[in-house]
Amino acid sequence: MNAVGGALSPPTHLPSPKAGAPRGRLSPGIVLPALLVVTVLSALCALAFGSEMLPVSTVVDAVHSRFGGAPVTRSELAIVWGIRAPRVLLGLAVGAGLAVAGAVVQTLVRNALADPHLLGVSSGASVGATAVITTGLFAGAGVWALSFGAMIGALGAAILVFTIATLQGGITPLRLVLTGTVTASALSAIASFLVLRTNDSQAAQSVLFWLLGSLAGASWDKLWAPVIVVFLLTAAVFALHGWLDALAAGPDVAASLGIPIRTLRNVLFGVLAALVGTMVAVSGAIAFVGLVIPHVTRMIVGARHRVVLPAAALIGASFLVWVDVVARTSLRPTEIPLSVVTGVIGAPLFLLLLGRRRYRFGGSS
Amino acid sequence: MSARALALTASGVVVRIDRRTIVKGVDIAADAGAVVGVVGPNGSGKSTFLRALSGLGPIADGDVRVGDESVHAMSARSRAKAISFVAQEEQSPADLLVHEYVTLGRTPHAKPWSLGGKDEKAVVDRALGEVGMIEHRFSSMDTLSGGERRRVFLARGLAQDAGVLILDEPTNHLDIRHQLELLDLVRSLDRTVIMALHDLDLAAAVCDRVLVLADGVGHAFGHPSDVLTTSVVATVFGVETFALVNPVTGRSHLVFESRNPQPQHTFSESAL
Repeated sequence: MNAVGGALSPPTHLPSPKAGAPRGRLSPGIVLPALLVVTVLSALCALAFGSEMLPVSTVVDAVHSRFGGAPVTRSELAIVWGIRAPRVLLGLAVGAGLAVAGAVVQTLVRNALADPHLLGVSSGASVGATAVITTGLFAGAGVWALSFGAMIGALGAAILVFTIATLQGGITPLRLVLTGTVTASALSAIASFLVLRTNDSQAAQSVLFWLLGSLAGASWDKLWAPVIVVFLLTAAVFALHGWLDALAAGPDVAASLGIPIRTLRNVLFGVLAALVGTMVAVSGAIAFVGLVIPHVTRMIVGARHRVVLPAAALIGASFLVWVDVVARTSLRPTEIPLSVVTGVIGAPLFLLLLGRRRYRFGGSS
Repeated sequence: MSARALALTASGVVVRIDRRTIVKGVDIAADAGAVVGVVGPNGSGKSTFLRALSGLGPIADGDVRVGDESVHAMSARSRAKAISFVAQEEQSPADLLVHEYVTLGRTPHAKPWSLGGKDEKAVVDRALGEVGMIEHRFSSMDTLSGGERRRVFLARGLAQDAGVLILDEPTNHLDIRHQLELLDLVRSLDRTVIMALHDLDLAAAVCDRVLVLADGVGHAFGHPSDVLTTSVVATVFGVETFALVNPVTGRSHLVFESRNPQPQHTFSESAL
């Protein structure tokens, strides 16, 4: 055969290295530090907002005083450090955790519409929480009763979905979507039944409020568990970023690249169940963050998990902190459930972003 | 690249999918550095057989050995360092750039948390250069044509740097120039290459050995001039051919004629 030279000969003229990032895509070396600054500034601003508006400089002084700076007045310290700080920190942790869980679940099931609540874990938590609110279950656990009930429900749902999927041959994207969705519907039905059975309209109100998500329960002594869980599990999935990239390319490519697909899927399911279960237990089922933030992140930084995971965590953290500010200040003294705010702000924002740029996910349109 | 070609031998490979036996005891032997073609009509089990050789699909019986190890007993990761498989159609995640996709080929050589070794970029650029896609390395995968995507998939397989490269229909979607370039490239690689091909004449031109699969059975295996004969092609493909000798190169080519003067009738008959 005649050799056709040309294009396949070794490249002699490499493009100049400054053609690093493509048009519209920002370099991670710029994006990640910028997002970190945005997150810190968002947190400081969020500390200033509330029933009493404080100047940001007072907030900075109050935070500084806790770390050996000049003392501030007791009331300022109580507002900033005692009331608002745990709530803002919980918002950061939950926002980051939901965004990371959303990015991972979208890769696991290779579906653009997947969100962390797809696994059925959140519906399980709602059954547990509803049981606590309407029947007074675990009353001995005091302020922990609700979280405890939600955690038990989440764990039960995770075990149920995992067992059903595994018995049917393993966690494959389609099977997980179907099993999770069907289980979630069944569990939501049980939760609705529990609400209808009770005559206590106050209890029904609390259930509804809880289902729509809120950070109102934040306090320093309930903060450490979700923060540690989100931090450790985010670090754990980040350590798997290379395999997540391969998994996103489809099962054939992943297998050809030597990824232990079955094990990886099981590990990811476990991580997601723990992550989502913890967050739902402390803040209820906050919608939309886990669906939208990963897409927004990919539009900014591309699809590689080494950048998507930290960037989504920071964007999710900032986003939820601002959502909480809106939730607690816009209809004072009433608090709006977070899912109402994420839906009202997030949905149009999401549609706008999707419409503005060519964006595709997972090979589907 | 550093990969050394590895010999691959398979004996008595049987593959069952849902109780249907797709591959019924096929043998193949590829010396280190050889180019072996697998040809056969649609549905003859080519893709299933190649997946079995790659260790991606389970085998019901038989053995596949690469070097001196059994492929189906190796860990996934060491298998991926020995054999790189490029499927007929890979799905590329959107929002991935060409060089990012090709970097996936380095996965078996890196820890999952690694942010890229120092030779990663060199290997990826070299693979992209070999398939003629280096100018496109910062393009988004979405913007490529079908043929360009195929070449990027091949570059991913090359970047994997394995001793055996298994390609399922690598010339699909490629125009004739890029088909010839790809086959030239495949010949020049210091790897063992096993690939399914549709074009019998290209297979005869480029392969050291050819396996003819028919209905999951190895119908013939050997040097192309011994295997791709008018009688084998007539039996397996149901097509009448004539051998014509190119007066310039002296090489013999198979020229096809439909066996039946009513081609549509032939098609419906063979479909049954």
